[in-house]
Amino acid sequence: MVSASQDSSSALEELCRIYWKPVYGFLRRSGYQREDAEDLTQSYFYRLLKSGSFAERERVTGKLRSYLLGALKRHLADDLREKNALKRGGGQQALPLASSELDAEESQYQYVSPPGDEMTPDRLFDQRWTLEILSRTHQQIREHYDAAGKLKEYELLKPAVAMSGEFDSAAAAKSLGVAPASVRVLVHRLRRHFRAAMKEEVSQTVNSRVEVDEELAHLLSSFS
Amino acid sequence: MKSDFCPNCGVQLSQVAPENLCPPCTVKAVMGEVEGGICLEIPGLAVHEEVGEGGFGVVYLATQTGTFKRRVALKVLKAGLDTRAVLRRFEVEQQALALLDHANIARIYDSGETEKGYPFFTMEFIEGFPITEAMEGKDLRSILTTFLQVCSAVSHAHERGVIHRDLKPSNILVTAGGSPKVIDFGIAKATRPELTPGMTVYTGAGGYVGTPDYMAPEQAEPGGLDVDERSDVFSLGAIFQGLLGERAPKALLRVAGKASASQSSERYQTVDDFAKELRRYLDGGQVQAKVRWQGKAYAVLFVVAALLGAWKFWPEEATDQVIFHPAQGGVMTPIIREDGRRALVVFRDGGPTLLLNPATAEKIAEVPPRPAAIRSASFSDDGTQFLIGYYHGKMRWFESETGKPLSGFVDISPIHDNTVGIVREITLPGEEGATTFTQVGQEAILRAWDGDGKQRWECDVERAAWGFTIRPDRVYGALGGGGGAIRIVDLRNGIRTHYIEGSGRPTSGLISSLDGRFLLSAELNGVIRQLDWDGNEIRRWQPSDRCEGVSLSPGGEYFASADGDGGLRLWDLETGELVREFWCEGAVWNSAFSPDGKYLAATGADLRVRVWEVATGKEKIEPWVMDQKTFRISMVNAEGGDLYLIAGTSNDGVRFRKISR
Repeated sequence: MVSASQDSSSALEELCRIYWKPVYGFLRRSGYQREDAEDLTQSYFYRLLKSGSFAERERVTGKLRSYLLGALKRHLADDLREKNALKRGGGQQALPLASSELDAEESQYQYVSPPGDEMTPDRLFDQRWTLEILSRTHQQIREHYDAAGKLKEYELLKPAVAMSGEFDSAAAAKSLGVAPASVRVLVHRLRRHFRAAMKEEVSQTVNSRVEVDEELAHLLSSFS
Repeated sequence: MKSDFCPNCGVQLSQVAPENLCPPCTVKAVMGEVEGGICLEIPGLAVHEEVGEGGFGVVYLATQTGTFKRRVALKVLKAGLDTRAVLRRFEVEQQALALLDHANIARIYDSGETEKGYPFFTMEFIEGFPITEAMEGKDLRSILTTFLQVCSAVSHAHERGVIHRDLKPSNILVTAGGSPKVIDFGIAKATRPELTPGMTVYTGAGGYVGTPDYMAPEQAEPGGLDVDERSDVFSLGAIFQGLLGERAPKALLRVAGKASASQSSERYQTVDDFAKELRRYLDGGQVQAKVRWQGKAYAVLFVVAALLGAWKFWPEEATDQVIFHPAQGGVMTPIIREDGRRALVVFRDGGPTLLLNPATAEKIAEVPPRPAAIRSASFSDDGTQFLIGYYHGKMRWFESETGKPLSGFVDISPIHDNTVGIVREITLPGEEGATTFTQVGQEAILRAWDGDGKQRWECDVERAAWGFTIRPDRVYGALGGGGGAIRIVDLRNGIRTHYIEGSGRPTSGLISSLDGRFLLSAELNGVIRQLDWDGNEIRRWQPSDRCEGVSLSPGGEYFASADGDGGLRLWDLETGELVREFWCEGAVWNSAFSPDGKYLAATGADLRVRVWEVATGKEKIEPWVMDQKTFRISMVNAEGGDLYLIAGTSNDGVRFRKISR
């Protein structure tokens, strides 16, 4: 979680690194071309931290996600009025938007959305937000398992976290050299860890445990 | 460009799906998992924790509130089932189920609908292992006796008009006391009127046998008109076959085969008939099994001359091998007590830990993996007790002589339940009572506890650790771990005195020299370092690009490195020189000295265990060819003066082999 007390440039980088994809996705979906979207993403984060309003957020109830989305929309409204104020240059460092990832996702934005497409910028923002949470959760779990020398176990069993029923144990058991009954135990354990880690990730963006469930439900609905 | 589809919901996965897993399905799965009582509101029940899950839904441990506080298993069926229909069908069954009263049948108490509309059942809470796991390694008599109880239960139900329809190993649990309990009577009919064949994978001795169907062929027919008691006979036959394994007496295999004949008319017509045959065999008599062969019926008589009581193992192959209780999952390093008369073997899958007398190759006791699987073990300083660390963050003491528990479960995972990775008990210098050191889960914290279970200190070791070695004077301990980093901790106060960076690859071995002057650390990438306890590197070796560990000679003058190029190298600790090389035909995985230091054994990728005379380099025995990977090797003095080689295999448990001096 980004702490407001960190020095501002590293805090900015941290924020950007974690949350740029939903923001960038929203902007692209809103019709901005790549360069403009990148500019706007940078300026958005820069302003966010500079204004100190991010630090204040910690005392406000509400979800980080909706806060950031709201701030983004306000930023866009402002930008239209101050078009030249925060372009590249002017003492700003280039932010670490991973350009290889930008390239890889470019195909998503290539084409004009077909009519009736329900992928609004808001929904895309939420979806991208979810993907970020999932990525971070997987990263954490992967690191834990790696540190224990169990990377293979994680790699083989990770599909189980995306399903609710029994996970086919034959192939995994063979590959891990254990009995299928043991695989059930391992899957159960992995799910438990994953579940806890993901809830932890989400809880860092909301203010109370109750909101975790609400937030998860909201994120799920952005996909249907 | 990935264009996979989600196996769960069928939607096309976008390129950016993390780990290529469907995001909404993941979120749904996370949401669907309920933790202890938060989302389940059922009047009259306090829901505690999830204890299992399966294709049908999830099982929880719960307690009935109200005057009669009884522990129950709460089974909540998953979404997608038509609740009304399920409950309606169940009501019909409930009439009959209420009449079932048998020691080996788990009672069903109640049914209903959760707040969210999922069907649920409450039933007698049974804690046990599926019958196939519980019976592994058991002698024939035990298997038959247990199975006969199952038959008695099913027969009881048939008499009252209830057919199980879904008998399989996971529906027959064997409790700690050894009683089998059949669960889920009547649920199959209520929830799945058109049953699909159940699949379970078997591990035969040393390999995979296949995927037997426990469900009778006629049950797969839509409508299920031909389903009757004989369908349960089929399932029981298939289960029994699985319990027997491949090397069972032919007579029993025939009986099992008849019970699981494809045509229901060819089977035993009642469970009672099946059980009668088994009882006849058990009592040492004759068994009649009519076998249908090429259209003709043959009555085959087998005369059984077995003294069943004397049977401890299946007929064995080589006579100089004593195979122990087969275990699932590989052996972790056997822990041998100083005097060589007790040893502990922990298994990778967390199953029962064996307490052995390595001098006689006898099994003294088994420590059951209950209520959680076992992760670690160690003997106390004086050897009279040993400690077991469990997967649920608790440890327990046992008596070394008998294997009996000496304490309850001590909670050493203050924040949340987690695997006890390191557990070690020693007496610190100048103290009376013993101190126990533990590390739990992925927490990078080493904790010390006193004899009353109170924490003495905790030490942040910065990253998860394994490999814990204590300097002989007991003042300092060293931990290895990820990246090969070594942490040195003052055991008296928990202060971390040194953090020594490794070469970046995990520690594969960490030992202290006998005189306490040095630490030897090996890393997976083949780097071996000799350090002093202040972290100064004295010297390093890298004979090959992989090292699986190091072992110290009993006299303390040499150490042996298990190198990836097939070399087992002997080094002089004082001078650092290579004294001798012994060769295997594949990477060396583990090595051990005999207690007198005269011999050196190794096991490796060439699937052979070799023993050499240290002084001359001569091979002591013909390489012992193993039929599977053997990761661990030890040598102990056998009673009578010879040596025992103890091989820890990857599938089969522990094997002893005697070597004469």
